[in-house]
Amino acid sequence: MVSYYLRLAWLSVKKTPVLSALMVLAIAMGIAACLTTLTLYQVVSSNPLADKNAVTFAVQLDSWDPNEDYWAVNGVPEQLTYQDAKAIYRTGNADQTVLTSRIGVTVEATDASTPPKVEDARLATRDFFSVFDVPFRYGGPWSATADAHGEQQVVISTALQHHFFAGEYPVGKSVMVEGEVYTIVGVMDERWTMTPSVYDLNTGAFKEPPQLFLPFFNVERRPFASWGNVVGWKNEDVRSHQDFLATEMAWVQTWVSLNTPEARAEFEQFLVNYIHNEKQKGRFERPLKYYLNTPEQWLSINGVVSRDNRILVYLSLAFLAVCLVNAVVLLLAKFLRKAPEAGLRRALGASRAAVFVQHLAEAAVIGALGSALGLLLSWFGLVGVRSLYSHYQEVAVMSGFTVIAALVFALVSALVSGALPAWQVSRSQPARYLKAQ
Amino acid sequence: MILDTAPILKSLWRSKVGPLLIIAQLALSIAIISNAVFFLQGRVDKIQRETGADSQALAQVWVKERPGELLRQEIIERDLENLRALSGVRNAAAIGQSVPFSHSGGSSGFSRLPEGDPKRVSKPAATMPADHAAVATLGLTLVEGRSFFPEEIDYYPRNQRPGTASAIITESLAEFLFEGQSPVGQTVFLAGAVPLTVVGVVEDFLGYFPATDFAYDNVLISAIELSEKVNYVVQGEDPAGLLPGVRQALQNTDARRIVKDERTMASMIRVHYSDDYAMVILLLLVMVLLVFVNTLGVVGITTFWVNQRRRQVGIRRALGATRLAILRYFLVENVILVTLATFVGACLALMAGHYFTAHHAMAALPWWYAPFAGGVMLIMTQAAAWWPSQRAARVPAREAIAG
Amino acid sequence: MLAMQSVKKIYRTDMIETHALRDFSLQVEPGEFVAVTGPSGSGKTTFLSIAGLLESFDAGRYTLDGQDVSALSDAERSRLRNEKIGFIFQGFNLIPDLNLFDNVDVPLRYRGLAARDRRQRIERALEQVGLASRAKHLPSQLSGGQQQRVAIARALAGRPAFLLADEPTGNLDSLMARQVMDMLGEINAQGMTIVMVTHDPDLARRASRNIQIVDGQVTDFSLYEPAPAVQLVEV
Ligand SMILES: Nc1ncnc2c1ncn2[C@@H]1O[C@H](COP(=O)(O)OP(=O)(O)OP(=O)(O)O)[C@@H](O)[C@H]1O
Ligand SMILES: [Mg+2]
Repeated sequence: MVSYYLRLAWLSVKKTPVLSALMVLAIAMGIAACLTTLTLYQVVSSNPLADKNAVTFAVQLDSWDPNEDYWAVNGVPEQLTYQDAKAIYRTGNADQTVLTSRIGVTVEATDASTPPKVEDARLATRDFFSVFDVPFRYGGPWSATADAHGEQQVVISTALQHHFFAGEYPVGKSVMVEGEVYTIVGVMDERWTMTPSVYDLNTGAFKEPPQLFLPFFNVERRPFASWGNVVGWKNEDVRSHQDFLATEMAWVQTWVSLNTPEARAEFEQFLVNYIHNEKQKGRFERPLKYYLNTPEQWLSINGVVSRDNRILVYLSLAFLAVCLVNAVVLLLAKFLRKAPEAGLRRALGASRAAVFVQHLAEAAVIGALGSALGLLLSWFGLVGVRSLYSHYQEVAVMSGFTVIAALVFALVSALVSGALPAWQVSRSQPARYLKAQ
Repeated sequence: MILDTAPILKSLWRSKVGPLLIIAQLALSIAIISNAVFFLQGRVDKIQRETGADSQALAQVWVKERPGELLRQEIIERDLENLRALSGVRNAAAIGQSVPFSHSGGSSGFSRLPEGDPKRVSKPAATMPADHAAVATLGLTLVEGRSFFPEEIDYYPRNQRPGTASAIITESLAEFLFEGQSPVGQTVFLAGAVPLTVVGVVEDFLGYFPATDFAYDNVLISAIELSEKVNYVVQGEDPAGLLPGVRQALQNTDARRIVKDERTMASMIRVHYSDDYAMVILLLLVMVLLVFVNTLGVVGITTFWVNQRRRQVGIRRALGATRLAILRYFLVENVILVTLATFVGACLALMAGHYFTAHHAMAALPWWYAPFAGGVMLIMTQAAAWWPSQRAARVPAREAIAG
Repeated sequence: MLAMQSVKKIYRTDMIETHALRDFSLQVEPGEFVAVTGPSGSGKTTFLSIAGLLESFDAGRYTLDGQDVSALSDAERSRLRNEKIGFIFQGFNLIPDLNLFDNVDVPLRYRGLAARDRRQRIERALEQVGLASRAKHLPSQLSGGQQQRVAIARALAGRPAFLLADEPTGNLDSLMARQVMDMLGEINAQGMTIVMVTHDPDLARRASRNIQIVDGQVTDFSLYEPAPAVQLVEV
């Protein structure tokens, strides 16, 4: 019976090619618009750390100005002061501790054979690689000792490896970073891009991964040019780099993993004790406040999903609604024109349900064509989005899941829009059409 | 002219579902279009707002010395000399940080009273360490006082504080701090600690990151910290054409220093507004598609009604109706539908506007946007209904007897 | 076979009630060929619609093939219509987009028969009306009489208990009308029960029994004696 209905539907679609094409086109445009914005929205609003959302936390401590609230996010600075971050690393006892900061560095070959380049880099403790799932192509992270002492070791990107070593095995070789010799311990795989870049949302949530990672505590030795935010409230007399490290300036992004509830409780107790201790030294003059944010909370606090993203989704849903109502109107027009035939079928013994299903099948055929075309159009839509938004390059891609979801979505919406017209036509009285036409 | 609205209304009422749906579709579209036009206008206004600087004539570049070396005053002055010597360059200036639209800079609280004073009120503003040529090069307009003197510029060592420095502030900040008094000759405090003497006031210009609250609050400071890097801004007729020469001039002095991000201010502005440009394009696209879909719908439904009433039309023609009367019948039908839809659409639009105002802190939608969108829709759908309607008008009278 | 007892049908519209059938009683035996005549508006089509389960009625009893149909749901009535009743209309009512084969196929589809069975029945039915060779043609490629024969084939293919025909020759010229009547006679001779509404007294006379409906009631029957019951023959 299904194949019979599909055949009838196809006959009917062919019978009025222009009207059918208009319907298919309308549905396709609605689907494409929605699919494009929803794909974008899905990626923008996704949590790349979803699998460890319960055990990974961005740490915030309220060390801010006692007279004024911090101006952004949840009223507590996004980053920690160097001294607080260091205390968490040294004595916090979390399962993993990531201290990290974005910097820009000059990189050269040791023999000065290539012109120097300025690259986007990060200071980070070695747990960065495991917490943020950075895959390695060669080598691996630096050792725990190198981490604690801030040794001159470096993890570079595949691009830098190609640039300096033409693809040779690079581990053990050296590069010059800011005029100092750093030994390469690992090369990260080029597959690694985290969208959104949860680890650092201060300078945009959709950025290329850094080209180098340096052990965080190199900063103890010498200054680096920050490419992130350094925020302060206190007027402090800074005469040297050591002075700078001791200030109330907040610039270290701090993450911890706490794998069990006990670990978490213990860590929180540590923070409370620490803050009390510091209060006695005259710091942390505000009421005691700290936050451990899951990646999901962190993404939300930092407003990664922009107002434009939301408006576009509303807009495309409303647009889809218009397209579907349009399809309903056209289907209704078409089905009512065929009402005499439906009446005849009823007279010949078709039940109301049979007539309903027959017309629903026609709506489904239109919907299937519309969704196939819509899928194609949304592919172009995403190409368009990529060319409009330079920072969504990695973002606006369709996954197998979205494709299937879209097809189901399209078919369901086509069936929904077919239901009313099909119901109307199935109610046509069989007797009515038997009188001489 | 007699418009036979009564029979049209009656016949629309009899078929209910179809007309109601098309009204719903038109109403929804009118609501969307009026909100979209409103968003669009906001974006266009934002993109087109005055930058306050001579943006079309500017280009910038930044320089970083070899690792471990600092840009000394002589190097900066020599670089600027080389830049000014380039043909096509009208002026060049050194700016420590916070170049307009560069997305990189610093800010600090400014107040008239030093820290510790309980009456101290401060306002954040962008800090722009700048040399004497900065005001002229950026094309800022002095409204009071003067620009910096060359000898006034203090190139102070790293991790030190400038001695005495002067400041040029924008009108917005002047208004906030001095409330109508003349700021020239007065002192403002940076971070409540560093006193600066105001020597001039310039018209407002957009700072390094115009999305902040202090977009128009900028302070030029006559003190440049000697660090490993500095920004140069050049002004010329054709800033894009200057870029290769600028890079060359700076790299010639030292092939192993870093010369990076040479770009025109126009391109920085385009990058800054890229989301807004994208939104404008997407909103326009949505509006065009909406009108298109409605046109499809109106063509489809009118064609259907015309076919459905072919016999009726034939009988009317046989009974003496003119072509014009038939045409008018279908077009008036469309006018009625669009008019009803405009009312419903206006309500929807205002509700949506209200939602956006309440939840997304956006300006309220003016009431006349929806009627306006309805008017546009009327014109488009009249055009769309014209084609099937005039086919109806051409139905021959013999259809009445053809069966 | 078909028995109506005091059936009442009222059409209600905004303004008036029309008593289309009042105290309408009629019995049709298997194998009969009943011609129904009567003035325009007297209720002939109404009677046929009710007999064919296309419409419900307001009072009375209607038993079809021994089954009381008054209380059946719409779906059950559809099924019964499909299995027991063959319709022939004045306007032929073929589906213009479908070829003859598919047109005859329509009621069989709702019967849920296997493809082979359907094919056999369709071919037999088309053969019976002499149009087997034109199975792939569209209705618009046939003359009026041929179209009506296709409609008859469609009615027969389902092997119904009886045929209902509303002025089957109303749209045909006299030659064509005679052809169609010959065919109905032949089918009746093979045992099919037929109820036919007509305005033409000549055609009515060819039936085995004539009844007249006036003002919603049967006024006059058995102009002719009912024909002896003949055994039903498979078609
Ligand atoms: N759907 C309806 N609504 C209201 N009244 C109806 C309806 N159908 C039929 N009638 C009325 O019922 C009465 C019987 O109509 P019916 O169609 O049965 O007449 P008929 O005998 O078949 O006439 P004709 O020979 O002209 O076809 C008529 O008065 C008619 O107006
Ligand atoms: Mg009749």
